[in-house]
Amino acid sequence: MTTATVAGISTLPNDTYDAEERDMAATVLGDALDDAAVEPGDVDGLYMPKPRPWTSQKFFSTFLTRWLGLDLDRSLEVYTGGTSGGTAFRSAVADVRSGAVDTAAVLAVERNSTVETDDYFEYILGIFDRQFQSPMGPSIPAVYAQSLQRYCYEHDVDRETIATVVEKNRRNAESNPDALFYESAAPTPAEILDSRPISDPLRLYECPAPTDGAAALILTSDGSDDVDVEVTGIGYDHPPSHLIGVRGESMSRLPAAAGGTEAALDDAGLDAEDLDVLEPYAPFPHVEAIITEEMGLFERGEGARAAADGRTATDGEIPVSPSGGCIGRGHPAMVTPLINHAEAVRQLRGTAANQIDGARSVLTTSEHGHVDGMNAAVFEVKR
Amino acid sequence: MTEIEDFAGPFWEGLNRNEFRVPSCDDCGTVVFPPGPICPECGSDELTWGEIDPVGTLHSVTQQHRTPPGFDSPIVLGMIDLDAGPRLLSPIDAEYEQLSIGDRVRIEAVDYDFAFDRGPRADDPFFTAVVVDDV
Ligand SMILES: [Zn+2]
Repeated sequence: MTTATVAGISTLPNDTYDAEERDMAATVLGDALDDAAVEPGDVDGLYMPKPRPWTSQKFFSTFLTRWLGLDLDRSLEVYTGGTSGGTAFRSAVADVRSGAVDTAAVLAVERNSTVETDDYFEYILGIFDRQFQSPMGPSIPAVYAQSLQRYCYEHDVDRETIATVVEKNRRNAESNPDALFYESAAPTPAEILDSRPISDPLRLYECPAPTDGAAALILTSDGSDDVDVEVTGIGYDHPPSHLIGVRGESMSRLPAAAGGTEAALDDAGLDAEDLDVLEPYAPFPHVEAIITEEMGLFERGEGARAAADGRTATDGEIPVSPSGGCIGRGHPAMVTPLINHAEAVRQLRGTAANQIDGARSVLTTSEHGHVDGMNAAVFEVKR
Repeated sequence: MTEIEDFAGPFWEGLNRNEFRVPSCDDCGTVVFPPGPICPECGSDELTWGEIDPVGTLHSVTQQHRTPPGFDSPIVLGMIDLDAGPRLLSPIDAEYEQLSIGDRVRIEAVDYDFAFDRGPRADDPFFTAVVVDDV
């Protein structure tokens, strides 16, 4: 089997952009190709999340293909909510491994600044069960608020402990120039719990700020010494879950996180304890904590306390979200999975804003709904 | 010609009479909600409709402040584990501050009056949960 290597990466800082999506996309793609020292004409696979409805350009990948003169053996424009970017990436890795593609461009772009809040809420209603759930007017935070409630109840975790996960990620973002909250003083747990209620008990600072963003990665089958980061594991899991969890299972459990990360680690031939860094897609603080528990890194209910004790800080035993994650960086949901991947590559190149000394392996995740499905990927310094 | 079944139709017909009608699996006994074509536990398509007493326990609860257009803020929502097995998301007709995980609730039919297009269910009632102390 051919090994997929990451030859190039590029990200725009999460922010608000007036530029059109096409120009943002072409910019990150061009920068990633430069980083990989690859010509556009070498790209034979293009993979991207389908931009959400408020992106006016439809048929985005086909538009790009002609605009940039690409001649492709594979292309994919996929939409599965927050996993979309991860699924595009996983498909690209699979195509490089199989030999179907030699040079894959994985690309994502999104401008959430262009969508009115009411329109966004109407769109979100549509991801719930139209017959049995949408008519009551639910939002995404309303679902995560209930798993947070359940997590605190079952494990006797207090809200201040949950808030320390936010504080850690905002502190990490302070020194990440790509983050929305770069150089913005991290709130204290008291300030976090004093911020506006969004869906009780979730508070504003515990929710990810929607932003604009774009990112691209170039995967190649090139095994030369110039390329030093490999994708050694990809995995996915989707149990029978749609926003209210798996039948008979507590909302404080995230079985897709257990299954997705285990599949990627198996693919890489690693154990969770072998990992040096995690860059999870964790839009709410308890989700980050539970992912670490589902991976077996901490006992149930200990994931949040581990953050409070500094065990997941950049100088802790297993740094989690050293980039700031969704909460510190801001969250363009279609782009976030690729930003996680780019941050993983930076850690392994030794160029991350919050560099973990000697990082040799990083695991990233992406999820959709209420962690109904999860992608995971393992990146390693070339062995 | 193959007939396309309205898999949840009998549920809504029942709710019009304030009855909570759901299919159960003939093979493993699972109560299927939302009503569907097969048992999600064992895959059997041998399902039989019947009425259940929709009482259950509050698995979790929230008060949602920002609401979609057409919905007054706030909305109190909970996940309810019915004694019969299924979990459902439901509005709760109670003050958020009065609710706790583990509370006993019953699902009741209510008139639907939000500005959300329910399509073919537009004229059907919807449901809400009320706290009950005696079951
Ligand atoms: Zn069955």
